Amino acid sequence: MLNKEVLTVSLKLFVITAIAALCLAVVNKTTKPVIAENNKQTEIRLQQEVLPEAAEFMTGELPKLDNAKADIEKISVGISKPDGKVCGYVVVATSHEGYGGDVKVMVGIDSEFKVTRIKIMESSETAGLGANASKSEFADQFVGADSALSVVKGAAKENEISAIASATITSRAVTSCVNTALDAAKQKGQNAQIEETTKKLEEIKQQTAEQISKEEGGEKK
Amino acid sequence: MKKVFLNGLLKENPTFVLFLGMCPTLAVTTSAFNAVGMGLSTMMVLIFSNIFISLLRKFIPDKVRIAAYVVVIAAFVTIVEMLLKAYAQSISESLGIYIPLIVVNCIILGRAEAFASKNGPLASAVDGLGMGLGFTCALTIIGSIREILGAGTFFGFSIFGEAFNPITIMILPPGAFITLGLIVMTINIISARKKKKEESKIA
Amino acid sequence: MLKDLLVISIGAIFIQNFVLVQFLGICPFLGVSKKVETGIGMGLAVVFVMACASAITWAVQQLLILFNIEYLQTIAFILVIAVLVQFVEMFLQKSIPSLYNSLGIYLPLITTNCAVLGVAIVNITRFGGMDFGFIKSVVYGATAGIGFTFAIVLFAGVRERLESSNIPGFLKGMPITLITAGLLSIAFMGFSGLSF
Repeated sequence: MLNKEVLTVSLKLFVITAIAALCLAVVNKTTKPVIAENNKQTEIRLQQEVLPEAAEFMTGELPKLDNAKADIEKISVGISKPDGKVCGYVVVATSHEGYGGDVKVMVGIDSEFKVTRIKIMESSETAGLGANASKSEFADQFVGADSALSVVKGAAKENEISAIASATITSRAVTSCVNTALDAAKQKGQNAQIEETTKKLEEIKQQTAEQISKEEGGEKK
Repeated sequence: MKKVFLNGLLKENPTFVLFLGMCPTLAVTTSAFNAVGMGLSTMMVLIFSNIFISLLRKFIPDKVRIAAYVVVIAAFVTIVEMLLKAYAQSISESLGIYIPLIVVNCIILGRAEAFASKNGPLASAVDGLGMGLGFTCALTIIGSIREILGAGTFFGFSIFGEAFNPITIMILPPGAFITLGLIVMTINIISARKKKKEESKIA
Repeated sequence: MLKDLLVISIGAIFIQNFVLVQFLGICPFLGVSKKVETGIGMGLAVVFVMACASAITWAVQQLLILFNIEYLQTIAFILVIAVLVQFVEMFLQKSIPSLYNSLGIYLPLITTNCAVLGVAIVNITRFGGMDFGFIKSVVYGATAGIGFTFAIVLFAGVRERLESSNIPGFLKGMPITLITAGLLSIAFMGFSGLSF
């Protein structure tokens, strides 16, 4: 008697759960592509905000840096249209040295390795103090920077960033993100240059080889 | 029907009177926009879970009713979560993990147990609407106060101009507790005065 | 690894305290904090359940990923937690009755404690959906529970004193409780900025 009751109760519960799961599957199927598309669009939009010239972005391999103060999470190469040239890099770097935890910064860097814009992606910094890092008075200081920056309190000279009032730790975390991003982009650029040169060399080699073989062929005739 | 609706909105306001669902009330009210988003999401879940639990009230075995309610509620929460992610990304980003946590909002399970399991689907829907609106209003009030004082803005628009120095603590966690405490205090004072007046009338 | 675990623990207990900073588990925090004793009982029950829940939901999440049905997460987690709480209750009742007698009444309340579901969700969403790992998840769950206990015990201590003090009528009950919680939360804000 008891077993029968347990059986009906669990069967009923199972039916409810199964129907709920089925409903979710249907909703999931319709919303999943929309969500994926949304995420893709947001990513492109964010990347274009820091590197407006680029029309398309290609995610590249993460460079290995020595003595980096922040972790590189993602690096993508910006390509302008319609000429298809590399017009810069977008680097996402995370510093673990923030006041409230990790600070994640997206840095746009042009093809001359100057910072175009920075954007604070994620931070758990104190609202009203450290969170002011995303305000333009602070963030705009980085525009045009091309070599390692240091943080100072008060007015900033060349290659210096003036810290946000009462949020020096946050300012430092953001700056180390930007410095690491610059290094990463430079390395990426160098690698690309080396690749290009080797490619060209290969091409020349091949061309000469072809020429020689042609000439040899001509001689045989 | 009107009584059921007003009950949730005023007399048994889930936030200010019953103190249910405190976690989202305190956590997401850093701005009026977030508060409205959270309130409306909760309201949608509340209305639909009330309707379905009321429809299923004879099918659900009494012994496992809480588990069954939780499944129904979790299903609707997940649906709302997916819809928000797809069509209202900014809300879903700013509310973060508090959307799946609507499942454990005591208001929803509380109404399922106290109202929907005993009443018809239409009355349950109205109850959900009233309670949901009451919750949304409460959240919006707290969110507005905190945003205006703590950031100097209202729904993102600056209202005091540059000269205003915001009281930052209001949008930090302590501000949530203190704001709610002061609102409840105000309600206490008002209701105490009302009572006094009524008493003096009788006398 | 050890340093990571230490950072996670300190973070969960002090800097990102579940109750006072992240607002998870407010209902029991306000409801069961009238006496220090009950606060400790509730806190210990929560530590235990949160550590177990972290371990089990981690396994459930791996299964969901395996079958590609991550959207069933919320349902799966809440059911697992409900079943877990029931099991813990039955287990304690049979094998450690003394512990059951002291924790017993708090256990059913834990199912709707959003801190438990919260820790399960934080574990899987932390660091942009990257895997938090089994050990780290369990440590995070346990230490977040300890943070909860810490907050509720401190708070209960303050409330016990409030009982006997003279408070203006309109502040009695909820208002003064909330404002006290706010002051405690200010104290906890002092922990942010700790770094290693």
